[in-house]
Amino acid sequence: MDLSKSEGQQAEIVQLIAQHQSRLRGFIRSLMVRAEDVDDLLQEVNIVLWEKADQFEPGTSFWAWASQVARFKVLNQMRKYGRERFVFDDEFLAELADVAEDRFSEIDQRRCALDHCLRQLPTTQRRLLDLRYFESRSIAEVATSTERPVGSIKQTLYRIRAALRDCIEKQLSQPQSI
Amino acid sequence: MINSEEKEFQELLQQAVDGCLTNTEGRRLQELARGNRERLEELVDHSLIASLLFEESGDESVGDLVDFLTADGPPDMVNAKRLVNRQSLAIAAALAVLLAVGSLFFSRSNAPDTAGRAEIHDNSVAQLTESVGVRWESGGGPIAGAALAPGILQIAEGIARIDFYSGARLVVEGPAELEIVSAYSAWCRSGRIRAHVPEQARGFKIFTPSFELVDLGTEFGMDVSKDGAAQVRVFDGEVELFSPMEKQSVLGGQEVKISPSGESAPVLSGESNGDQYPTFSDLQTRATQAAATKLERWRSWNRSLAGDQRVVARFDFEKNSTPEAVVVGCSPAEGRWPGKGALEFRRPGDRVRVNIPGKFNALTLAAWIRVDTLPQRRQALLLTDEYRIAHLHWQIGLLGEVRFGAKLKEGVRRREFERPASPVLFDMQQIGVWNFICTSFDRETSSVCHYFNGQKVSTHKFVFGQPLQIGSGDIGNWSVPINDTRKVNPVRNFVGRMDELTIWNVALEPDEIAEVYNQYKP
Repeated sequence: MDLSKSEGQQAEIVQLIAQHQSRLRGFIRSLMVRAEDVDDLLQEVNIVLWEKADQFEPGTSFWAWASQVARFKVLNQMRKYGRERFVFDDEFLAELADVAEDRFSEIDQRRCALDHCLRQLPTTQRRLLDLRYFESRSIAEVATSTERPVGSIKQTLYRIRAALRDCIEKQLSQPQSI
Repeated sequence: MINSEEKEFQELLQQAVDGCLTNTEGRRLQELARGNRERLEELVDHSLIASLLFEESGDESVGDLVDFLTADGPPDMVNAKRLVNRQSLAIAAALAVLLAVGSLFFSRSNAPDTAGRAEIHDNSVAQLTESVGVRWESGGGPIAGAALAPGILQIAEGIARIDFYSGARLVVEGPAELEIVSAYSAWCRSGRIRAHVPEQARGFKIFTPSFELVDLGTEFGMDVSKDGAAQVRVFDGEVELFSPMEKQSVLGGQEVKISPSGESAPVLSGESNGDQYPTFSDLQTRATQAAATKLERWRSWNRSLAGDQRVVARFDFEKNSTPEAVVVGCSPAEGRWPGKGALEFRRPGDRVRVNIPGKFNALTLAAWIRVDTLPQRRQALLLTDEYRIAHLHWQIGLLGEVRFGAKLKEGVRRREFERPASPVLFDMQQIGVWNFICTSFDRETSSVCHYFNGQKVSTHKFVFGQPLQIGSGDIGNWSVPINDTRKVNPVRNFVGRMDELTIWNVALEPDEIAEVYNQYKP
């Protein structure tokens, strides 16, 4: 980054990077076959965003630019892995990234809608989500503590997410009231 | 009817989001979703929802970024070092601006990212100034000092004072149900109230099931029963009553009763029972007495703890420096009750130096604190010097969560540190309020638990191969190594008051923590 940039410009870039952390992480996670390297990759994306900040034109969409950077990083990482283990191929990755870029661009609205939808869940379902996501327990741990088989936990989590997904879409299609 | 391919895709999707895809499964998932927009969307949406849910758990993304940009304790990345050496000043400057405008804090909320400079918003309209013997219908309920947003307050018993931001003040005696609507209005379903409405809050309104009262600058009492019948006495000034039936003025010295349907009739002096309305001075007297009783009870418990073998170190802040605790800066202040000693931490250098020897397989850290500023940056509770292996760090995080951590082994990457975080505990509503925070660590069960006001708020797996240590450290600040190569001085000073801190060599049970809170809360 051009160090002659004003303090205000630098602050703006840091602010933009900060505001996009959770969506970048989610975006990367949705493109990876396995989740373990998401954090490291995100940090690498952050560095690029900071160092190449002069390529970003203020006034244009930061997400459009940042998601391109992230997509490129994921692609590189996949190619690196390619020899040792299965990864999505370039073509499929591009398809997936197009969808993800679109979905994650509205993440704030989706988060809002999700907050609303979570409140409508029955307590038992909410408890299961808490165990899995809030307390970050593995599926196996959730299965042990609820005395249910692993397969059934996965299935139930899938159904809850599917219900939340429907609810979110419904929320988003309603006219905005502010 | 779901066909078998659809079912297969769903199972692979479950595996991708909640499990770990094998090579074969990954290949098959790709095959099934390729060119199929619907399935691609389903895959991304499930992943997105999982991300948002993980994020709810106090996801560290923003904290990570700040760590990364400032590379301060712990420095997370080898790459960050490279970056910081070259650009630390520029980034620190940028970050300072960023933190000053509060946008990091804001970025977690639901703000669309198109917003420019974000401001922190506060929706509170009143403050719970005093509460004596208050039991809330819903259990928890706000604590004295708390800011109140619009919402319903149900007081089962006790008496409370609410100061509206308009300047209007209410004393409410339970049982009562009151909804705070705005700085200028409230809804009273039932309860006994006395209101003082100064000129500045003229027009302050109270709605009840049967009528609406508009105050024209005065002091009045009100008694509303559950069936809607009410009695209003004006002590001074004038109020206007609007009911479906009529509008009328009630002047100082007059008292009226109103039927559930809104018909009013004057109360003759012989029938009046002027004592039924709570008074501000009565509240004050009761508050003072209650505080004195509680302080006395706390003092006797405090003395009894001297003989408790489980207490490793205890700071009651009743006196200034002691051999165990050297106060650097800080100002003496009032604690939870009038007469209870406390320290006020305000300046960046304020701290209490401690040295607590020993190795601990179990610990409980408990403190009464009053946070006086929004977090926005880390604030130390008890930080051991530098960042040494197995030495504990206890602090409030950027977002207002409590973090307990220690370094596992040499190295700078995040996975060399363990620092489980509680949910966000400190927000606007907690500023200026005395809260009891507590964190326990137990090596035997490999767990860390965070407690807030006696309630367990989170449990974390905390696998640590060795006992934890404290040694030399700071309460309310952090002493970093002089030869720190990172050249950025991380600011960690706590801003607020502390009037008690205890370290136990056992992981206290939830019951005991709840008991300590309930017995000695303000």
